[in-house]
Amino acid sequence: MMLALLLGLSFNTWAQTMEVSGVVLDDQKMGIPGASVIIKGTTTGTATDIDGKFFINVDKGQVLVISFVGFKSQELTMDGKTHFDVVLENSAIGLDEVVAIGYGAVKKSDLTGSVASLDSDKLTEMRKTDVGQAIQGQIAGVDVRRVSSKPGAPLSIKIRGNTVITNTNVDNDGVTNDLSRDLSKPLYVVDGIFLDDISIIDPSNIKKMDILKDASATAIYGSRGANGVVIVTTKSGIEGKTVFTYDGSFGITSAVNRPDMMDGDEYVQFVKDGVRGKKWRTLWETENPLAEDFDNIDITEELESQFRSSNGETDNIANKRYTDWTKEFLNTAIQTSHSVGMSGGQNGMVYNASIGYLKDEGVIGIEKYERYTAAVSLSKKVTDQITVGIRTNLAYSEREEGSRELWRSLHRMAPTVSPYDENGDPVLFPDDQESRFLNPYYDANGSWEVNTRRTDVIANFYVDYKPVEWFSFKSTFAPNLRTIRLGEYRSLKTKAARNQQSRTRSIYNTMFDNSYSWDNIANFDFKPFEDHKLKATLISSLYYNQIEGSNIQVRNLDSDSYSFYNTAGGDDVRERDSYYTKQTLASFAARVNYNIKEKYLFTFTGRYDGSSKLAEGEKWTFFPSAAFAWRVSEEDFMQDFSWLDNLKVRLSYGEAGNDAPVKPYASMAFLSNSGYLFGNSTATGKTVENLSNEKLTWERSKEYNFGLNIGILNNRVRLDAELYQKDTDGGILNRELMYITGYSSAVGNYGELRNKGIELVLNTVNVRTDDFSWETSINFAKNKNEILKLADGVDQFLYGKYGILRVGESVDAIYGYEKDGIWQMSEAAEAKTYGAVPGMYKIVDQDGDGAITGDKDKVVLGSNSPDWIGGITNNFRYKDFDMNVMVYTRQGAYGHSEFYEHHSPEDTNTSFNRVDRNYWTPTNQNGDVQLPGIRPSYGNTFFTEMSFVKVGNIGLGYNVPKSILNKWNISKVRLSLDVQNPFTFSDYKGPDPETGLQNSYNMGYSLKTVLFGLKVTL
Amino acid sequence: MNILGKIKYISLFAVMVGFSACDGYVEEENFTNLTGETYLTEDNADQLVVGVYQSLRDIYKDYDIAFYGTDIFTSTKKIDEIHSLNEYFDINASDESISKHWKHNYEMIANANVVIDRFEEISWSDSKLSEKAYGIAQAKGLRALAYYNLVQQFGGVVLELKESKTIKDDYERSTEEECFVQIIKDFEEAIPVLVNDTDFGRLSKKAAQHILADVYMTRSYKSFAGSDDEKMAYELAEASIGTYDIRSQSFEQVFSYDNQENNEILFSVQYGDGGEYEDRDNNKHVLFRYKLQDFAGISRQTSYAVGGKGSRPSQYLYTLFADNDTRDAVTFHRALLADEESAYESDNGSEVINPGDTVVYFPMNMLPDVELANGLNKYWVFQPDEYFFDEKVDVDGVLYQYSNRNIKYPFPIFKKFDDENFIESEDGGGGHRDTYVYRVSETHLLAAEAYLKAGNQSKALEHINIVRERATGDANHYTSITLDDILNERAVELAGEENRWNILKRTGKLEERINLYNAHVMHHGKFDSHNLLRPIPEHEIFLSNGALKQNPGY
Repeated sequence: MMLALLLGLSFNTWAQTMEVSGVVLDDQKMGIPGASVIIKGTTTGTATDIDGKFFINVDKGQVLVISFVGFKSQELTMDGKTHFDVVLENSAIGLDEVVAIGYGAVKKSDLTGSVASLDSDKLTEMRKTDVGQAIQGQIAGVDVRRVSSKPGAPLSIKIRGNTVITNTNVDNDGVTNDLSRDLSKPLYVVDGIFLDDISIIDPSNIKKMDILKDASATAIYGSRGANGVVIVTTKSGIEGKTVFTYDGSFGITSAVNRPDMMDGDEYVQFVKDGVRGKKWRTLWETENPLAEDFDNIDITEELESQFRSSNGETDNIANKRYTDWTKEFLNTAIQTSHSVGMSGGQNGMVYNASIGYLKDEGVIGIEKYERYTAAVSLSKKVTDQITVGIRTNLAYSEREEGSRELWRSLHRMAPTVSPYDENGDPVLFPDDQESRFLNPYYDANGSWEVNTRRTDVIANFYVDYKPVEWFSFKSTFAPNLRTIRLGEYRSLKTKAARNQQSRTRSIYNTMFDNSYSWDNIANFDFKPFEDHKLKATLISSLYYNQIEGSNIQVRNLDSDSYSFYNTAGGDDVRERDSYYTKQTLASFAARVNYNIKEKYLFTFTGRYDGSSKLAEGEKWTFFPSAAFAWRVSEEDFMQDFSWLDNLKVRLSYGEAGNDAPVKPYASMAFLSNSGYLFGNSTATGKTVENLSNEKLTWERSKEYNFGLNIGILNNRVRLDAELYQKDTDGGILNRELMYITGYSSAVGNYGELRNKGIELVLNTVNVRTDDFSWETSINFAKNKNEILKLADGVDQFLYGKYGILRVGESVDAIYGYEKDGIWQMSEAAEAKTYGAVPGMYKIVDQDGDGAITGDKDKVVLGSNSPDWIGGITNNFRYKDFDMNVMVYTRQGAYGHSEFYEHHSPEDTNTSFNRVDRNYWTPTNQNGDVQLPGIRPSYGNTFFTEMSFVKVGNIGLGYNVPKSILNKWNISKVRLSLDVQNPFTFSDYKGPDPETGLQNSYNMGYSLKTVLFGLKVTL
Repeated sequence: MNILGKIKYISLFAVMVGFSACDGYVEEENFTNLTGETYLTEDNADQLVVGVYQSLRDIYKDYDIAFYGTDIFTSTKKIDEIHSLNEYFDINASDESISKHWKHNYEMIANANVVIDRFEEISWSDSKLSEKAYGIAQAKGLRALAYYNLVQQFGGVVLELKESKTIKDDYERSTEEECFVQIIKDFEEAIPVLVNDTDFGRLSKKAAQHILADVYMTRSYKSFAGSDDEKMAYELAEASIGTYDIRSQSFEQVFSYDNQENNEILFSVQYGDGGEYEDRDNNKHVLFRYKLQDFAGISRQTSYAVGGKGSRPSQYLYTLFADNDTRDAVTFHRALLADEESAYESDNGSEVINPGDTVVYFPMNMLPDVELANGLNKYWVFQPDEYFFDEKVDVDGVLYQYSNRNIKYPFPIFKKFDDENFIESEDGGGGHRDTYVYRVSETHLLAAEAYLKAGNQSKALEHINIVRERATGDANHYTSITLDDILNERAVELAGEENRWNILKRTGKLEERINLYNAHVMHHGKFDSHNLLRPIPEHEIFLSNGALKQNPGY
């Protein structure tokens, strides 16, 4: 080693050193602060100061590389000149941008895999508070879906479709809304630390986000990268320049796209129709009624019980004194955020520190989300060869979800009853007819709390040792400590407790999730031949995760004053447990990048992974990948095509594994407690809980990716296209078992799955003048998901409530009866053969046997996965003003609407209000919803398409001109006004097609925020 | 570049790798769970047997398949509204009540199979061999009971007699006859080992003899009946009764809340007020009721509890109770009493109801007009012919002081399953009372049925009259009997306890009696002979890929 060091030093000794200075300017001749000035081939360099100036000692003959994100790099050869004015050209394409590829980075031009990137500007442009929201609609093939609109709710992020055949939570169609149990979510790597949730990161603290999509790109993460990898690099300081920033916002949040519920008159009519509807079906048993007979059905008696005088309901109706429950309890809410940052450095020490605060209130009840964040990064160049550093992110958040029933209750309460009595005091049970329905007034005022407090500490300590130019070694230790406390209290005055003490409930759950990873990375950088470059990376990585926690639930609390803080206050113990799980992963990986003449690029990656969760003897496996890229535009024969700036084709193949679908210990069979009483003495009992699986091993995905990057017309038009096919073998799934076995399901490597798709990104600079520019970015992605195999001899399972897993169909397939309109009066005779009467849905008799029978007439109706997703962002700039408009869409997603099930008129329950849909009656035969009063007799029919187009953001920004700021010695002031989520276009009648799969229990409104922002950089 | 130098760096890296590479690093570490292989020994093997008993709880909460669509129970809906299971109106394979019963019984079978197989794997010392045999005998008896439940509802089912250790889906159904052979075989192996003096709630010899008698009785009606099935039935029934005299306790005493472990009980599903939540989670007390808290003066916390689950008695059931029958007062609440003070606005002005006041009264016999008018000025009265399926219409000229609400579906609610100690929750669950499965009086009625079918009227009369005598004091009520007499006596004695559907099916009386006594069936029933077998659950047909055949007609 000493020899090498001497060799390294010896290169420098004969050089002739001089000091040069310069200023780096943008195309408007404004100084660029923080631009990097590096001596080519070394790590020595500096950064420009606030005015764009720099000073550096160089040797004659050396080359300075000046670069800054968003600009084309420039190289200056030191020929003796000591001052340079450098004007950097805007780089729309960013080929020199550095892209994180996991355990290293490459120039974008050298990429062989499929990687999409977003920089800080893009991420913060719309001032979204959550990273998921910030990338929604922006990246082809990344499907970001809001699963709940309540403040602080995490978002579902899927890269290239659903890669997992069965999720652990199959309550709703197999689609997981509990994101902690979503198995097809990507791996998040924040500064080298593995996370499964990035909601704790403040988007304004992110410098860059790189999303690895194809298997060759993710291969370096082996088994952890099967669902794609999101690499987040947070901000760090720049030596020689101290920068202070303030970034704040204040906004008003309100509900948009509120469902159109029936008003009082409509509701009264609906009740009448519903009560008649109940009698309509049996009327057909004995006679053939005419349409006009419907209105003659005697409902006097029923109406008396539907509308009762005891709570003034009959008076209310007589005087048309109606209550709009949804409006009555709607608030306008505040969203505000502040963050303060400081960065800089000198003498080899750089630092960046920031603290942030966010408050986001909901529009009903006590919903609220608050987040405090702090980030510190520090690095010190100890010697020329050794750099040590630490990066930490701390986050503390509190999320109050409020009542889970409030939203649903408000949409159910009849407009004919009132929340208040004549004195203006709240009535305990506003509707006599529904004695279960306690006044939502109390829920709205906080009688039901669902409170999550969470602390995250993520840190990364590293030592970087670079003894010689061609070799470096880095060791990284990254602990991640997470504590989550969920407290829930349902007091007497909640719909859940109905003012009965025995039903009050207190829940207190804690979880400690501690993990670390320890990575050792060796990088080799050779030039074996002229024009050939070889970069090799060797990695050993250990990952350890340990989760422990406890859950307590008690009922019958003797006081409401405890909230959830005293579970001893209740004597009916329903849950008390504690648990421990541990999982470990050991990995060895290697990657070789080979570059010939900057034209032919090869990447080979292999990773050997061992996972504790898999069966004995099945724990270790190897995942290889290879990729090739050809920069066609760099070929000599292409130089005549001056309009073509960039043409690159890429081809890759990679294998990736996945053990996420299994929990620790999944291969073993356990005993579960099944106690019993004999007489009154307790007897301990045990039953076998599940089948063991001694062959449980890795599920393996094999992915081909073809990519194309084209830039023309001075890179003003750029097209990126990706085409891929990903086959998953040995797909781990929870195979449903026949009841005869005594077990409900068994975990194993049974399935095969294919995802294939296309992703297109088109970026255009439509106009670019000194004063005005207009840029458009369009992305489109289509993914088709298909089950190739389920298990030997089995080609279908019913899945969740409405789902099916069937060979040839999507994993997210929805299974049910197909509706073909409504039986009309003229079709009564035919309807009768199916046991139906006019006004009922006409169910398609798929097998034509003249009867509707479960297993023969149900079909796959659609899929929760969208046919395609896309987004368009337009950015305009006029002088110091800029504007952005972002629109995104999910098309073809189909699902079961819990909202319709609870709030659509076709039900026998007429004591709840309903959404105003056009329902059929014999006197309104154009209705497209079944006659109220007849609950669909062929099972559930609340299926619907949930396609939508949403305007995600309209934003206006103003940068105070530097000419003004310079007087105050302020480098940047930006004012902005954003309208987030202003419009939704959809045929869906629920509150939000994006959250359409969600149960209306615990639902929230779709929210619009008008946000004023201020950003100051000193 | 110096090759030696490179080797140095590579070896440095290799050292780091070697440092972290260790197979032990990826071993599992498990504290939270137990495995059978490491846990079970001869000393705790009985815990697996206890696990089988625990399966009984779900099975005997499957009320719908036992009561709907019978002569003495019907739906709570209005007369012109449809309840598919009750009126045999398009019953299909996705019916949840039916598939639950299939699932629950197969769960018990699977748990019993675990006992039978694993008891052979555990090593037993000689002194404990009797415990081994006893555990296996209980498991076989409970497995046979579950198969018997299934065969009565579904006909021939899949006979799985081994613990499931691998995934299987090519199950095929055995014939009904083969199922009976297996059930009888299990009981015959179990009975010699079972004992009578055991923990209350374990399967005793007497209980097993009763069930086997019932099995023979059921088979005796089949085309594949054995030549002496009736004889086997009455002999086993009499062996089960032994010397016990049911007259040693009154009917009321048998249902006394504090007397749930009495000698008449052959087999009951155990609940109590200690232990885990599941131990306190019987919900049988909410059966055959309606929402009583709709009445002013009646809170949700009374022993009437929350009601409205499942079916309701048909009018016919009430008519079966003779005036002198003490069982009426034990079986029904004829008066509903207030338990909380409540002020109420009525046509008569403001009224106060005090705890103990009568809120609703259901006289056993028609009240004369004067008495009726008197009653109606204080509370609601429903005459025996007014147990409507529709909402009550006001009677002209009468003041209903306690309530002017419309009362849905008035009928005397059940009393015999009352729980004095329950936890009110969503469905009114959380009762602590045991569910009686078999009682000695049923054994007598079973013996009576067997003797009658065998042509021995006098022995049949002996058995049925002893049941009647206990209830009415009349030792010779019956002088000759028919099958319908036995069904009526069973209805009165065992209402809500026996699986009425199974009994009507075995005696061939289902179709006849529902068309006579079940008002909803009479109004729009669609019973067809294929309904004598329940559909195999869609879930099973679906997963078996055609190996499992559906019953005809579904």
